[in-house]
Amino acid sequence: MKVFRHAFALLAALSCLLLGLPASAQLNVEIYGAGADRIPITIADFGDESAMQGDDKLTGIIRKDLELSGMFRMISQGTLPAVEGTVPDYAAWRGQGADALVVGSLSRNPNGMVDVRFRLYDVTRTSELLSLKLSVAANQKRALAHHIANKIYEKLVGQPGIFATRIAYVEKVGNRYQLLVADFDGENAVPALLSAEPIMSPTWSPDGKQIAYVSFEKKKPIVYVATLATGRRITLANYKGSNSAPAWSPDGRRLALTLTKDGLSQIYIVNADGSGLRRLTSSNGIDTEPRWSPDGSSIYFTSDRGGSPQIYRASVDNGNAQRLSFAGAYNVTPRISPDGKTLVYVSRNNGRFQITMMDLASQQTQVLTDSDRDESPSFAPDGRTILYATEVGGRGVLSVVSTDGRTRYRLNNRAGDVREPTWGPFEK
Amino acid sequence: MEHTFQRPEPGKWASAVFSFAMHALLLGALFWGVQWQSRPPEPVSVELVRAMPASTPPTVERQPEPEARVETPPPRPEPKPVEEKAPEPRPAPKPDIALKEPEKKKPEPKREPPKPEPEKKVEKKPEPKPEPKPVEKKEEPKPPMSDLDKMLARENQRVREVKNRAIQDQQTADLNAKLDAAANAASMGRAQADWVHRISQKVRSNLILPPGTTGNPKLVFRLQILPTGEILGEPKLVSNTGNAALEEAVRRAILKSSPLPKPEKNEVFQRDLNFNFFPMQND
Repeated sequence: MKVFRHAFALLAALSCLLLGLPASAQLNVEIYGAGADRIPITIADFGDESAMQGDDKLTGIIRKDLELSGMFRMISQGTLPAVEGTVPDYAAWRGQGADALVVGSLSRNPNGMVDVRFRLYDVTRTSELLSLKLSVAANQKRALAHHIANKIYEKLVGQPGIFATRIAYVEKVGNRYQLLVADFDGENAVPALLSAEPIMSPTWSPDGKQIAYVSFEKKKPIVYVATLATGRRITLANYKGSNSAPAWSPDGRRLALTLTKDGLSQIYIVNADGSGLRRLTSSNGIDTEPRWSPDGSSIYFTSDRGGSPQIYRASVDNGNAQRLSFAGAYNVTPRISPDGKTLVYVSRNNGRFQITMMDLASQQTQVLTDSDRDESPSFAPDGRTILYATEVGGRGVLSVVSTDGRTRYRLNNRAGDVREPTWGPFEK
Repeated sequence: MEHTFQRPEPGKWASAVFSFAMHALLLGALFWGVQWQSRPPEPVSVELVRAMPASTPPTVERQPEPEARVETPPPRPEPKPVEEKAPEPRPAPKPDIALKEPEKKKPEPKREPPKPEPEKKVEKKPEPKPEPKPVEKKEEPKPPMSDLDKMLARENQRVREVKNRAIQDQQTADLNAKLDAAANAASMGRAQADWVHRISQKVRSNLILPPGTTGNPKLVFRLQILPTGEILGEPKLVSNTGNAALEEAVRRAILKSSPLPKPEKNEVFQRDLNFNFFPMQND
């Protein structure tokens, strides 16, 4: 074998010489930075889109999803034909400026379902990236659109898309409060809970099946855990005084929360069934708004133990805490990114309450928003998109900003006063 | 059972011979391949510190005459014995000199007076053979010199000067060539730098970073292009960053940039390119 390898190496060297390819003759080109930030894509109208129920178009939802991500720029189809099952004229699409092309068709099948075919083409590489065929119910248009948008995003960006994730938020209409669960874009909102008393601090369980929240329905704050599919709920914490700010551990088996049963607000940890309560922090200030680190080893929270409300991190094992925020006199509501590297929180800057981001490694901070009354930031599972509530004209609205500044938009489809948004996990 | 351990080896010797022949062939090809390998001229930077030696060739048309005379004497006395040796050495120097002889004649126009000399020499030359010998040996004329010797010495001197002149001319030509090459290399260098810059700009304009790119990654891609600038096949990732999305984004930017800009001078074209990406740095 050795001899063979030897001979092969010799042969390779020989062929190099004979072909006149000097091994070192390579021209170096240095490329700094990146000049573009959106992928140009054409989502052609699908064949027979009327097969799905509802007014808005399937492809319209796909386009909007991709645009909201801040990663895509829509290129109009123009007059080019885009028929599912026919190889596209790559050169023509390229000439129109599209890097990628999506074509598809819908048709009703005898079972009353809708057969969907769609293909994603890489115009640059002149190849088909994806071909899918599925059957869905005729009223599943939004779910279908989000699913297709996810597939496109994953293929072209290389990361999972958040288009099929859900958000929860609290809406106050008149004197009534409801906990709503909606698509990531705020559409398709379904009430999970109705109450005549305030609902606060909803948070998703890591598997997305349950929501913990605080309700004042018994005239005092009590923490409940509701299972979305069944509507069944348990009382997680109903101790003397205030029970508030629940947060799930990454494995979903425990929750951290804030209780005043021993006097001042302090952080406690309890099992998901309400058993095994233990106190985590023991300070002479107010400790609240806990959030579990992704590795489960520590808890981020707000405390005024140092004189002003600031952000701290405590070990889950012993409660020993360390201060993280130093700039400014008011930094509250810490939320840690899914990769554990970035912290966002609300800071007061010159009297304005704004969403601020901190890179934990470098301690560098950056204000992400330009509004005055921001609250309740919440990371999407992609770790770059942040949902938060702000106030416009005295009414709470939901807004989205990305950590890289690529996207920024408002979910303004609700008539009521909207607060306390929380982004759910990736769909399982 | 034994035969299971001694498996037949048909063609053992044939394959050994073949292997040997093959290796010999490969080594031979390798040797000649190295011999053939022609290296591209390396850019040479030359600093001009003084003017180049002027090369003004003096022009004289007199030459034929003296030479004719030099030749004539020997043949007369000994046509037969000398013929074989004498004619041969002389014609040989002539062609060498011939190219540049015109230049030499000028410095020594005095030869004309000695014209009568040949006749004397003929008389004195009872033995023709000495003649060829002194011509070769007489680099430095010895004190007792006959006229012929003097003439030969002069001729020798002339030959030497011609040679020196030739060498000088050659050096001047070489220097000129090097200067030309340097100037050429400088303009090639500019053309290449310009080409590299335009490639870099185009690829950069097509690069879309995936969200959440952090740190200061460096990616190296190797690719081959056609003279039209078209990229051949897929760019090959040389260094691994562990960030698949970033790698794919960079690969996509490279492919989208096909065809790459062409160089203004075809001579600077290179088919093998190394792309070094620093996506989080801004030059």
